[in-house]
Amino acid sequence: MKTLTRKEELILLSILNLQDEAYLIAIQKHLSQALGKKESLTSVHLPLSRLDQYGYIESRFSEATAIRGGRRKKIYSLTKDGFEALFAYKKVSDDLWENLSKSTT
Amino acid sequence: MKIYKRSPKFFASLLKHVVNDCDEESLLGDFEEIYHYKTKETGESKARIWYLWHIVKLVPAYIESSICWSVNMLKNYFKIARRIIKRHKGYSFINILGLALGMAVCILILFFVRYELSFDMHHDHADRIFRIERIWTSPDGSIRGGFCSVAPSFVPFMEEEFPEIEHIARTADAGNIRVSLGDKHFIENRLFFAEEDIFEIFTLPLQEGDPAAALKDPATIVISESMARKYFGTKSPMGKQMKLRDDQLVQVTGVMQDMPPNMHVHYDFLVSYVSLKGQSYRGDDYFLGTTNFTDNVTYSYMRLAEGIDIEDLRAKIPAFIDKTLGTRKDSDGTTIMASRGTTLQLTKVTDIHLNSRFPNELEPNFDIRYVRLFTLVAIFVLIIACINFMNLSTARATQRAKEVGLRKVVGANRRVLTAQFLGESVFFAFLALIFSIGLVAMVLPFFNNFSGRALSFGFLLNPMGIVILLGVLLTTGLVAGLYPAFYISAFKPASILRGELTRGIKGTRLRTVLVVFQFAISICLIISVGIVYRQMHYLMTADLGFQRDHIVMLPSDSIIRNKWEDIRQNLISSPHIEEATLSKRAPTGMLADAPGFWIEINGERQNSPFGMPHNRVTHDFFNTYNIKIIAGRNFSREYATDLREAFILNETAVLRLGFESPEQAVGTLIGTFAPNKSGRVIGVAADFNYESLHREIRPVITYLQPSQVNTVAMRVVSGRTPEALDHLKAVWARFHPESPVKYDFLDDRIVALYRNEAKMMQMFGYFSVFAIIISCLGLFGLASFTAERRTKEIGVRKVMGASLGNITLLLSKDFAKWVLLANLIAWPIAYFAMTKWLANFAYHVQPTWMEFVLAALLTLLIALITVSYQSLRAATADPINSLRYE
Repeated sequence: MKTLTRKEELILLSILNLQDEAYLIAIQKHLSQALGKKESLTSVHLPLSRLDQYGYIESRFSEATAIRGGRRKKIYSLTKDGFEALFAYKKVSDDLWENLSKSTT
Repeated sequence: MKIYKRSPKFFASLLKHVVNDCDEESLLGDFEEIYHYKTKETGESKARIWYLWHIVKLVPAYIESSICWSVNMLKNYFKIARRIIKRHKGYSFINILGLALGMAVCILILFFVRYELSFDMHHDHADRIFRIERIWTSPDGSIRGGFCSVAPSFVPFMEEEFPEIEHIARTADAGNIRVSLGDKHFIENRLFFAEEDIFEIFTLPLQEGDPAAALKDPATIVISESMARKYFGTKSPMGKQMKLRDDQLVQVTGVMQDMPPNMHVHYDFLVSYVSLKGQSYRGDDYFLGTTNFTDNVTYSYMRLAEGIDIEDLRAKIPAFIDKTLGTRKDSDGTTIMASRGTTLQLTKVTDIHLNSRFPNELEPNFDIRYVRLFTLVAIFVLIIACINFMNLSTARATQRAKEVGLRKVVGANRRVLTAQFLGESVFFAFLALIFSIGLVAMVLPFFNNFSGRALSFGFLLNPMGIVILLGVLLTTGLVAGLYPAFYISAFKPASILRGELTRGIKGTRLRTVLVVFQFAISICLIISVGIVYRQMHYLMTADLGFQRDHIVMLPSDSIIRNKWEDIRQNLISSPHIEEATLSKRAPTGMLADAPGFWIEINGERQNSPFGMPHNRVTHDFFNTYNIKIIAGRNFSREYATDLREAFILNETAVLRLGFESPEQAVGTLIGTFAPNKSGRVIGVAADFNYESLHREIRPVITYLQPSQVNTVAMRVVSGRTPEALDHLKAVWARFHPESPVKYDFLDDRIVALYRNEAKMMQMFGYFSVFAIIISCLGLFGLASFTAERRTKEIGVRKVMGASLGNITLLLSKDFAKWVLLANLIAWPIAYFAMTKWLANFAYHVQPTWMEFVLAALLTLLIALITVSYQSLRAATADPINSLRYE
């Protein structure tokens, strides 16, 4: 199983949060807001395409909108593998956190 | 609905171009959206900068991904092309040589054409300079004749009448004139009297002297650079005195650069126009006054003001003619406006060299029709070369089939393959171009020599030359490569790799058509050369009505004229000189003015219905040229009255005047208006061609007027020309020691009349030889291919007992059939074209079946010789070799 990077995890989470509005610019904005600092478009696009390669996300086109000059949005959503990878990651980090709390108490 | 700020469309297309292999739509949409937000936040210009910056950032990646890969592929293409040349040396040699020959011919012709089109283009105001020409028209408006010069008095009136004219200048050709510096004497024939505005009209830079003042005063002369060298060597000629004729002193006030070869006139000397004052035997009024509207002796040019439409000016000319000349009596006695009979034509200076064909042009012009013809020939020769390439490439296509199949299998699409093969043919064309430039460089001196032009190799290097070279390269590469590229790239990989492709059978029909077409062009050229040659031979040898050989001609002046009777006696006292004469017009010259005359028929005096050129001669004119007098008698010294009142008509004149026989015309009263002279017809001379055979013989009237003759002609005894010339020099030394003896021969002058045609014939000859060679190269290649393809068949036939003859015949039969078919196509085309060309001559030969049959036999022979080498080789090959390997 491939491990996710932190950025990839954040992006997958944003996609889940945004649901039907999860396209590149929305993800970028969402992340910037969540992190409290500006994320550049490239820094979102690269992990996105990587995730696409892994097969963790899939995309479909929405309706065309005027703001995009009549072009359609590419809306991302998680695949089954994506969910699995995300939960696996969560489990790893949860376990680690738990160990930490055990050892300190 | 909300209106969103859109980014410039151009940005999107740029982005699309730079990004490859990406989901275009969503990307562009993202950019569009961000652009919108950015505009709202920071303004449109910042948004644009942001957009562009992102495009720029993508460029390195773009270069890396696209160009690097193309370079790699290109390298591979080159490698393959090189290997092909190496592996099939003979085939590549034929291919490149054929292309190179075709290109060389094409380049040479295109440069020649470009040169011909460049005449007088170098003047700063070339598009505003016009020559004023005198034209006579029939009442129905058709042009009867004209000169490219104009009567001197028109010019001051035009200058006054038309404010559109910025500058206007007259020039008068001094003809053959003696120019002396101290005791150096030369006969010059490029001396002109010119008004000072000539420097404003033509671009004639002065090396020394002031163009505004150089020709203002009487007795001033501007000389060309080369003349300055000829007369003064390295010393400055400024302010020095030179002498014209016997007594006219002129001072050098300027030195002008030599005129470029592509100008319609070349002045060696320009003498100020006002110097003509007191020099004309007809009085000052002739050149400088305001009453000479009859003698068109000045070549006049004008420069229009900027923005003037020449058509407006042309429309005003008839009114100007009427205002200036008023009315005149028509030949039937009625009064008509002058503009119904004459007009002034304005010809743009850049049109003179190719479109003007007046009898008194200053230098031999060329003909736009020949320029077009040569361009056509250039294109044809190139097409022939391209066809070779196409034929050989498609014939050899099977050998590339495996490569094509493999390329297709690993992912090349048809477009890429087409590009590859096109690129290959452009590469071949490029190699050929290098060869052809070498060929052109080698041939150029000879070409200049026989075309009489001054093309320099530097032409190839100026922008126009490079455009021509690139044009030839790309057209050849693309035209030659297009069909093979499509043909080869269409192969189906599955069938190729299974080895199912029949070897080059597919394109056979097209190849046949191309070969037939190729040979048809060559045959057309051969037939044309044959007919042009026969016409030229006819022109050179036709009976012109006078003796053409052994006649020496030279110019004369007043000294010779005044002592003529003595000089003639001295000349003919030599046993080597049979007769000598002086005349105004001589055969091969032109019959200039054709004034009106009157004639009395049946006791009734009537004005002539047509103008008749006249010739002024001394007594021995007809004898010297051996022109027969067919009725009446010749001029004779025994009749003193002959000098005043004797006329001799030619046969055509007699017929035109309505006499039934020459005898009937003898004794008729006749008279001319200018000069006012009357008398009787004492004889009728046989027709002879004064002018070139382009024109029909015109009626001519001849009379004695020893004061106005200027061409010496003497008939020498055959084979004694050197002795006769020695005698001539001796006589001249005695009577006129200052005059150099500058003679030429009548037969040379006749040759000069047809110089254009002779040049054309020569070039045509060379071109058709090239066309044939190139066609044969193609045939040779094709024959070798066919022979190779049928190796096995030939082997089997030989085993079964076919003889050498059988096999050769088998292989040659097809080619012979094609060549014969080409003949059938070429004949009507050649016949039509040549009949049209021959119509240019009033006297011409008829195309005969001889030329056609000869052309057919010649091409057949050449084709068979070409093919036979390959056929014989195939036929003599040992069948074991061809059958063994199966």
